[in-house]
Amino acid sequence: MNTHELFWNQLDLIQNVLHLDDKNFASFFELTSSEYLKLKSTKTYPKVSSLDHFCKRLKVSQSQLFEGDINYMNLKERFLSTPNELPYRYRYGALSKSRTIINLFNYIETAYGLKLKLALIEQLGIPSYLLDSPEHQININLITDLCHLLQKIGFTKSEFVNLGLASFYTNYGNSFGQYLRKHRNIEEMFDDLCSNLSHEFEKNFSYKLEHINDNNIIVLAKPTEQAKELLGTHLVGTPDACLTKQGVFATFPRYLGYQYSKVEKTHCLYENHSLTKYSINFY
Amino acid sequence: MMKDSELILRQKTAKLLRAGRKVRGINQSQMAEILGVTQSMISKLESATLGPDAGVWYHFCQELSIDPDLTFRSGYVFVKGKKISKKNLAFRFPRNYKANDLLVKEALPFISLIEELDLEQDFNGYCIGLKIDPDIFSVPNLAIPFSIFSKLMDYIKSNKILKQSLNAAINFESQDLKLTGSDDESKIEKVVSMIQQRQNILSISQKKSSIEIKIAPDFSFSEESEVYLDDYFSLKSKQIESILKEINPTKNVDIKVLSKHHLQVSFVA
Repeated sequence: MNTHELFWNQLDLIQNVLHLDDKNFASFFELTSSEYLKLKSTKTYPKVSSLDHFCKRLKVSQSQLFEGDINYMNLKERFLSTPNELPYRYRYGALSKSRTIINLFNYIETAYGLKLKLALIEQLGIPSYLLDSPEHQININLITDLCHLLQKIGFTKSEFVNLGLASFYTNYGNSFGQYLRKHRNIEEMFDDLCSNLSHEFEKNFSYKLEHINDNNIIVLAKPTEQAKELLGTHLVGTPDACLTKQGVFATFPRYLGYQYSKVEKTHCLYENHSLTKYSINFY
Repeated sequence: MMKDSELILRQKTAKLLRAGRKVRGINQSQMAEILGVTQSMISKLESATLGPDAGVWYHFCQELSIDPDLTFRSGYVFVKGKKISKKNLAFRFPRNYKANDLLVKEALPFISLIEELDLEQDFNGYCIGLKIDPDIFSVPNLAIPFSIFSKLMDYIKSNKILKQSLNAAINFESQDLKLTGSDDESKIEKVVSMIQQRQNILSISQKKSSIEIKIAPDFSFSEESEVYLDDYFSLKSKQIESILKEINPTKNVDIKVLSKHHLQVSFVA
């Protein structure tokens, strides 16, 4: 089957799976039923703008249509959900808070403009309300999918670290930033972060202090059993999301008026280690 | 009759098709051959006389290894660095522009603002007048000389609406600082962070009563670049100065220019 036939075959299958008549189906392309039927009968491709409407409405990608890579179960679920609902992929196993995703999008808007931010939000198919409050629960898949998209468009390792560093600006004025500033010193702050605070804002990883002295702290991060079970993998997150976390760790001394710390990842979950180890050096 | 929105979409895809072809360093006939259409069709698509069908678009994106959805929605051709072979690029640059110091993506907040304010056509005309191909601004990972960036800054400075918008953005952030910063220390803390994040400053270090800001990396620029950089540095310095003035700390703010791209900001009690 060539690409042309595959494409039209996919559309026929989707129409059948969703039990839609021609009029309703055509409306997803912002076409009338006669316009759609004309394209269908001549097997002519729709305009890319029409196809984009269709893809946004059903949250499928153009590549999936051309390559015949549609998961019809997921498609049906997305179609039956209300338009403003968070996709299931980001809704189940929601062990993260939306504050991370808000920080990532703030940085993208600042450094690369509003246009790219909006395009990425559309691409992920997430409702805008998600960015209104840092307290929404989300699945870590949303963070990993965004990192994957950024990696695809050429984000470098240092840009991923920058995404984490930018969290200082997002958090400084909010309750989390205010709470961090109340600590007397960096050691106390990290101790509190690892023992009491971490599960307040994310339940995918558990954090433990391995070593602490005047200018160095070693933090161990391990996926929680709950996360591994809900996500069905022991590899929670992605290497890029890990770099972002490295940037976030670097910001903590800043809340107490010190410089950004230098953070190195000495062990990594994605390099066959059982956990990720961050060595945080501050001055 | 064609709807305005349809024309805008055609212009958007036309620009992406032109930029993508120039990244590949090929002419319209070669692109036509790759996509299996006629040269006249490519010409019509690139001049927005026609809008591409989904098949041509998908084939084009595959050829450049770019995501069809994200490219269409963002309006940028995100070709990864290694795919851009400088010697094969088909973009027009003035002959005297040599060094490639910055990536286009550094300029995206400004480009995005130009589009939001509907100034794209005016800006394209300005670029063409300077013999700069405006399509370069659709390729974020393309390396361009500082001199082009400097011309972009000139355009912003010369355009009242753009200048006002940039100032408004700075003022808005400064208002936010006034509300959230309770004392000088916390205001200064936040301003350091803001300058770093918002101004694409390459390095910033905070000392007890001063901060040092380096607007450009520590390598030496060619004489030619230095001339063009002046405007860029002076705009950045002014932006930083206005942020500092707006937060209005009780301490005096003293800005010393240590070198062309190295500022020292001191807070004097």
